[in-house]
Amino acid sequence: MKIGLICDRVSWNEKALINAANKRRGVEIIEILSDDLILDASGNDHNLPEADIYLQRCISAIRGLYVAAVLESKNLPVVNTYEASRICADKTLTILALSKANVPTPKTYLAFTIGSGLKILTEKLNGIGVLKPNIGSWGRLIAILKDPLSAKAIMEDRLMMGVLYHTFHIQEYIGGEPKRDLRVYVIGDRVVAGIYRYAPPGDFRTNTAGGGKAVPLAITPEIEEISLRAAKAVGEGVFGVDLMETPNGYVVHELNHTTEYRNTVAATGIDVPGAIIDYLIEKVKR
Amino acid sequence: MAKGVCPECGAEIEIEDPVEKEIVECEECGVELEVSKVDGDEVEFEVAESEGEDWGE
Repeated sequence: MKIGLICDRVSWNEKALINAANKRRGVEIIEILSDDLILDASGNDHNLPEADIYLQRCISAIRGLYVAAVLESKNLPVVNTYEASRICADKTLTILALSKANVPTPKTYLAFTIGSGLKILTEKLNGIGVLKPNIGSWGRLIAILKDPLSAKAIMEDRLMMGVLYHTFHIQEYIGGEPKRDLRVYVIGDRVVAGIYRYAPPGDFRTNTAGGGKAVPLAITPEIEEISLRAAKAVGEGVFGVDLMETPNGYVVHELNHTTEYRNTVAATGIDVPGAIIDYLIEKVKR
Repeated sequence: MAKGVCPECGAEIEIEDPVEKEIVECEECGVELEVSKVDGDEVEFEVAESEGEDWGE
């Protein structure tokens, strides 16, 4: 069985997938670098090596979306699907999908002007919110808005940046101590691992890429149920589900479709990359 | 174990089963490197591309 691993670069995460695949009998993993790809949108004249299934793990969200779109339209099986990736890559589309599936989320508003953004802050969110780029990761450019003057300045800065940042996705700030959230790994129809991510001192963002600390999470039935429902809201595949704790229970704020797990493996000892490879093998056999 | 040299500080870097485009950190100077060529036990590195605005998980 051949697994095509499509990526832009081989981080610890991809190397772990290669190592996991090499440990399994009868499995060959083919590293496919997006830099070298020629994809034929109008036909089938690709230079894509043949595989029974493809795992799309481009670090560039936009490259990954095109890869998934082309593969799927040519009836080549790809994880995650284009549809799931398209939704997960965009924080607003994610909230829409979760909300439609009745998965609790933080209150989230959209605005296209500074004036409307300020109204959201003062009239809808009691003066404190979190501004996020619709497309972005690792906590990059996530800003806390606490007062109208600085909120205005932050939004003015965004308007000086690329068009990606001109739509203001403003979310309820979930406070409380300790500053932490939950990352839960859903593979197929099961939860395989989870961590708490604690924000580093002096920050409210918990992303481990930015220094957040990973601590093993005990998966309760409640966490399992909401995480599976969140993943199902965008389809079946491999997802990192991000949850926050509120006095009224958990809310889901993001889904990650090329989820990273280095810190989770280190903190929990759970073989997440092995579970991904096993899922792909099962999927081919089905 | 394959070996190469950090293009930034000249430190020798060892890497197990290297693959093209693999990301490693130079333990001497901390710069993020990318494997650009693998030739048997010899590896060449380039300084890795910096973070793009659509990069992530």
